Amino acid sequence: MPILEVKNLSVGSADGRVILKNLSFFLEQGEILGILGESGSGKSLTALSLLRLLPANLKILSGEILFDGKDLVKLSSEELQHLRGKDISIIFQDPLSSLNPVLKVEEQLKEVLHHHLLIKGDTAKALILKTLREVGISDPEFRLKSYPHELSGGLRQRIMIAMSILCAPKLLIADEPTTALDLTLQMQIIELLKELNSKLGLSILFITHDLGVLRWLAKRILVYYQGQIVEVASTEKLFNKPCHPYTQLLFSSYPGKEKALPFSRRVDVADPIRGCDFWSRCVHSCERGLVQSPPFFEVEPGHKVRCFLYEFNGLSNCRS
Amino acid sequence: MNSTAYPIVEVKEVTKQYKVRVGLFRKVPFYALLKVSLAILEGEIHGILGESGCGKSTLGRIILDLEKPDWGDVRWFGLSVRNLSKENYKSLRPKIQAVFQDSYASLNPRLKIRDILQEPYLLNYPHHKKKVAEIIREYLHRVGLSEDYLDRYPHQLSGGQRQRVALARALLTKPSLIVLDEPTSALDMTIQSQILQLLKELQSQYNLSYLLITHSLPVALEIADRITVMYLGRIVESFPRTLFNQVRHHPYTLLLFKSYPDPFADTPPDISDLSGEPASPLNRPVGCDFSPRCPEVAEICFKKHPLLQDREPLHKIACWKR
Repeated sequence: MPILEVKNLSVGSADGRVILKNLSFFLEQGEILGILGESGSGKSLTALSLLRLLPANLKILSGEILFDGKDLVKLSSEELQHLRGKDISIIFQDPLSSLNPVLKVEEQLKEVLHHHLLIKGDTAKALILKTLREVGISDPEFRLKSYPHELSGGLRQRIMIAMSILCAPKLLIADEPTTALDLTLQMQIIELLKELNSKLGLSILFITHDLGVLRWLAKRILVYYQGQIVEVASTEKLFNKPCHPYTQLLFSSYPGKEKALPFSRRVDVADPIRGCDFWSRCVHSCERGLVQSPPFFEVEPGHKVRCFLYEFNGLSNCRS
Repeated sequence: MNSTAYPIVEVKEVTKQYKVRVGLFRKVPFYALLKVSLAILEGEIHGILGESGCGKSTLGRIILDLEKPDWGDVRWFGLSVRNLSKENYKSLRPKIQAVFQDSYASLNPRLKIRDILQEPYLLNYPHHKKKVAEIIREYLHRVGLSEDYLDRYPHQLSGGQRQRVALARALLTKPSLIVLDEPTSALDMTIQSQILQLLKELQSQYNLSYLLITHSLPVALEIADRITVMYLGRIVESFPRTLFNQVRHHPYTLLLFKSYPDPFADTPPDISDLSGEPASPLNRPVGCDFSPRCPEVAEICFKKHPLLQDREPLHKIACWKR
């Protein structure tokens, strides 16, 4: 049974603007699921809606978020309070703004344990030291006495990860956790997440715009475009045969790749399109896409594409 | 680029020192650049690759004369910048232009695109007042924007469009060299690829030189003719792109290559040699800067820093083990 199942989730503003459109996906126990998208595609908003941390002007319009058998959309704020940081935890891109600048690392970590598990004193400290070692901090005693600004970016992110796994959560949401880090540090953090996944069986929802990171971390990938999932596949299948024209454009934009696709024409955004969101940039721009939004078509088991090209014949229409 | 290309800019043994405050009263000096020498040839795209804090942006600012070196010399077209006469400086300054990462911060939010482009042009060509409108339109077209954008403000444009305006503005003074400091890092990938394509086209059309400052290996490999790798304020290696993976690279360069997650490779990145974090310039190791993280470290590496030396024609490297 999946640990997380999102069904027809829509998020929008009070004045009727829909930003996340009818999202449905699931995350298996112990799986690393990747969300790939460009800025503004709604990938971070997905993370925030899962924890019901949406900005005041946005709300969940419809849908269900089933986590561990409970519908998060229906939970009261007290129940959610208890869930956040304990069963589901999240790490963000910028660890400095996620940590409290005026508290020592030790106090911040202890607070988490006290709040969720009522563990205090030496028991708490022992658990904290153990967790810090798990995330690869070699001199945890010394680091506990530091303030966040005294730590390097890589260390701060490790502290954040330690904090997020302290209460042994069932799901970790990682929102661009390596984007602010240098290349050599980025891979160390990725390796750490992989290790936590295989050792502790931690389920991870990993959100990024970085193709390379997802390729070598995620088991399955959701491709986002303008608040919609346009393609779902296992990482292998997606990289072997990207099907959606947007995924193809994204992959061919990667520096050093053959620019196989010609640059698509752009239609003025002021002229709203009723059909497919990608229509104005699509090389195919089919007539149906102009008036009708495509549903998912399954091209092979577990590989779904939101594009009319694949209505019949499945993969044979995929040119990549 | 050919073998007789002359250097547009030469940097000779440049050292730049900054001071940071430690505690209330104490100020500690550190070196952002240490004896850095390089030349940017006519028509060359020279990539500077390095992680944050390695001094790559400081180098760009020194070449642009936005910062003065504490030691060493910067030469524009063979002339030492520090000794330039006022007239010479005024005529050479527009030849070296810049495009920065944050296009929003580099365009005045209160000016329309028309004024943003007009101002630097009229400053340099005050007698061309009649032609200016036409010339601005021409350059705007050249960077792929229509003239509808002339009456808009920067905030009405997308990141990619603003970066195109910044490029048009740089081109208007007919430069020989443009310093591109992370020009695509803030952009989405589909847009990044369009801007890189545009940069390549403009380079060949106007025979420009670029100093491309980037932390992204694929970007450097996509357009640079020469790649110079920096670590902790020093150049550790410099090689033509054609020699990529053809020579024995510096251990740090190798580490960058190996740990880079290439989405289209057949094998995952190899990070077995990866450990530690870049040392702080405040706390520089004795000996080679890279010695605490180097997988091939030997005894001498802890004692003396290796000098940058020619190993093969066109390939420079600073390592005791190479």
